[in-house]
Amino acid sequence: MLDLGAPFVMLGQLDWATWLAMFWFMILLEVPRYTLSGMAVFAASFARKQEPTPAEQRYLDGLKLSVVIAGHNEADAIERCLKSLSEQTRKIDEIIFIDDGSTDGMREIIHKYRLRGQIDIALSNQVRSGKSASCNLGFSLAKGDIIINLDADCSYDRDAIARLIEPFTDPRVGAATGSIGVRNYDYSAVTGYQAIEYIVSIGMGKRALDTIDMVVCASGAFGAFRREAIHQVGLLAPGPGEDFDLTLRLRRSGWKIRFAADSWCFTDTPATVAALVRQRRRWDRDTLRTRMRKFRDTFRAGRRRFLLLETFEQCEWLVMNGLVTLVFPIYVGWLFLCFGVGALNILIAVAIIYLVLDAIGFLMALAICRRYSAGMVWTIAPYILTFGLYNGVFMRCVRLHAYGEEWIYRASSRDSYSPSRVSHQAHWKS
Amino acid sequence: MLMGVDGFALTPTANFLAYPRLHDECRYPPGWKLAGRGEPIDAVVLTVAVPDHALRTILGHVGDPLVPIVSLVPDDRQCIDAAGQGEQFAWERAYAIQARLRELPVSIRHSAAPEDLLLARVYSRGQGLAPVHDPGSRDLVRYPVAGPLENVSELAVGLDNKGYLTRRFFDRLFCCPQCRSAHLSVREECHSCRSANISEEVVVHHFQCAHEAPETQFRSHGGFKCPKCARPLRHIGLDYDKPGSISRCDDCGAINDKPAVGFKCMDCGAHHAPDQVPARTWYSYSLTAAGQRRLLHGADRAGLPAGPGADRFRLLLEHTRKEQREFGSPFQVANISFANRDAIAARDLRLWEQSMQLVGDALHSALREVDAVREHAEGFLILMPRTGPHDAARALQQASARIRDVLKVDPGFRFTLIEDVAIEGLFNRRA
Repeated sequence: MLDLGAPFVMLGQLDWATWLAMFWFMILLEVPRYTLSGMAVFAASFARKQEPTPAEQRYLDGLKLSVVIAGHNEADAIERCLKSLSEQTRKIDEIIFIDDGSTDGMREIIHKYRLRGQIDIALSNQVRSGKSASCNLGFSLAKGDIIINLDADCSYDRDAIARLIEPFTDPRVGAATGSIGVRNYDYSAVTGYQAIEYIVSIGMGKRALDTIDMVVCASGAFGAFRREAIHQVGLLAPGPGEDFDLTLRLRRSGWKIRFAADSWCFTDTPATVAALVRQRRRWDRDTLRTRMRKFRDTFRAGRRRFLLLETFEQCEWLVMNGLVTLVFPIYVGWLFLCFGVGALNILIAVAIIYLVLDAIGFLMALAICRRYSAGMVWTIAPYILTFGLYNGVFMRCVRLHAYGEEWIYRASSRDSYSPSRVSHQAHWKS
Repeated sequence: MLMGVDGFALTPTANFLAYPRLHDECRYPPGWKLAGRGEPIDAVVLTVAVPDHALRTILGHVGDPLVPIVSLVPDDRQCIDAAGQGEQFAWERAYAIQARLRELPVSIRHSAAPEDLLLARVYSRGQGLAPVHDPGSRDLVRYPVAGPLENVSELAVGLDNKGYLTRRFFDRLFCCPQCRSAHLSVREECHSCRSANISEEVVVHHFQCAHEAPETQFRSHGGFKCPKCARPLRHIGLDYDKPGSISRCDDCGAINDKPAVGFKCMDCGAHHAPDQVPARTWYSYSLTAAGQRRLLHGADRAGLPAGPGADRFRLLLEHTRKEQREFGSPFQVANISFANRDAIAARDLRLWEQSMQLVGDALHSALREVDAVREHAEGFLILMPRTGPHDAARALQQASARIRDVLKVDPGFRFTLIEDVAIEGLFNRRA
């Protein structure tokens, strides 16, 4: 039987220099980056929330809102999406639905809802153009002051739109994004892990980033954009990763991106390991391509519009994500090289420490969000015991693989997210 | 010119009224003579194209809606029995009609009942009640044989129900739900303001920057240039494609995938959505043996017509009553009505019409073969021979369940079993 005390006995025998050599990364970077920032957000969450002043509320009420939803073969999801939009406390002035070359009857369905008056503009691409192009068509036709980009397979809290636009009282804000929760958390272990991941990363991570103005992705599934801002930077670029790309361009142009933490959207996450791996590989490839290829000049201090915050954000990502992912297998190998089988004890000790940190982080995130039911928490709580393995090992391996295939093969340019005729021209000719 | 009538002999002399007058050189065939003052008129012969009001005056003077009217000049009006096919034909036609009218018994020949008049006209003209398309008519269809009679379609339906006429499909035309006119303009129009001032525009998708917008935004000095990245678009399939199109209203600026279809009534000016426009079915009718018997042997209004097309429901009702009197077999008559009829019809008239057809099918399939179903203005009458009230109620509940299964809407099905004494009154009122 495994003796959980043994790793700590072994670690207790090490001197402080060896300790630091082994755990410097966790002690110097990860704990301050995640745990301490989480605690700061947790403490800040007790402060009274600032509601819009009457003048700000009048300004918000005067804004014209356009919702743009583009989808491919999402006929089954439309009804639920429209139902939750019709329940919104904030009036939506215009809903534009674009069917991107669907073959499942989506065109007829959006036409039906248009006849019922639930959609204002229903358009169809006869052949698939990709999400970016479809959304751009909607953006260019939208008349609203704020253009809200949503996914057809998401549903929204009644006050989601009202909360999402609150940051726009600040005229410097170009985009805002809201909280995304997992709707199918009880479907499988895979969705359970993702539910924890979303709670922690959005409940604490994004709030922490928002406090230091480092939100870098206004999600395409749930993002609001100032019309003037997105037209200034030229709408969406060819995907994948178009929402991240657009947000970075907005930041570079001087617009602020805000996180509306109390605005909630719920979505179904991939339910199988294969689907999850596929999704994360795509996300990670896009992140690497966008950051290290398209926006690599962020590191060049002499560029025309050098912004220290942008460069810091890129460096932070490079160290906390890129470097950690690359170093992780080397670190494990080094442990085994130095300590032999004893490395297992060290890894178990690390896992236990991470378990404690994860549990603390999870509980703090729940307390901050105050959105999840007790039933949901009880359902996903057991997964916290192995969440460290999921997040720290499994996801890092997936990320490493994604970075490798992107760096060596430019795999994102062949992603089926966009039709091949489009992605080929977009990525190889530009 | 002599209008010679060769090949047939005229036995009784027929009086005709020529209007405005016969030309000096005009000679009419033997067997005809100009009607003198006070003499009955067997035919009206128009020698010129007379205006409508004059024709109405003549018909009023003649006072016989069955009298043949022929014109020696072309005239395509409803009440003209022959025109534009030569004078000889006109005389022959007038005589043939008059000869057939003479075969009718006095009770029919001088009846003022519209049904009798219609049957007599169909018989005397020797052809069925055939409709023709007529752009000048509000219904776009008219029955030339019916002459000056009004509400011909409704009369013909009644005679068909009674088995005197049999019908064949002719056409189905949309009509205005407000004024019943068939003068409808079907047009593509804006979803928002219903204006027909719409234009279609192709959407262009530039691959390299993912910009997708209406084509006008890409046009630049005779070529294509992306409004987002300013690159020229030279090669369709490589630089760009055209994945779809939009329709734009040039009045209100509304944009949509495709234009709406709307109906505008050219008579009352009302505008209707397609699902609000009812379709009216037109039939051509021909006289049945029962109809001919009724005409030639006089009207027997109390009796029921015999023959294959007779009113089956009435026949069965009489038979069932007789069975009850002689053998004591109970029977039930149920009146089916629909509580939500007005609400559904107001929302979507065509849906209601389709629903009623489905209800009819469902009733026929849920009931026994011996049961009879008859549609009336507010619902259905169901005759259930040899059935007690409990069995009838159970059968109707099953029919109600079947109807709920097949219909998309809830019509508010309800039924009442009618007392025998009330049946005839209800039946007569609604037939």
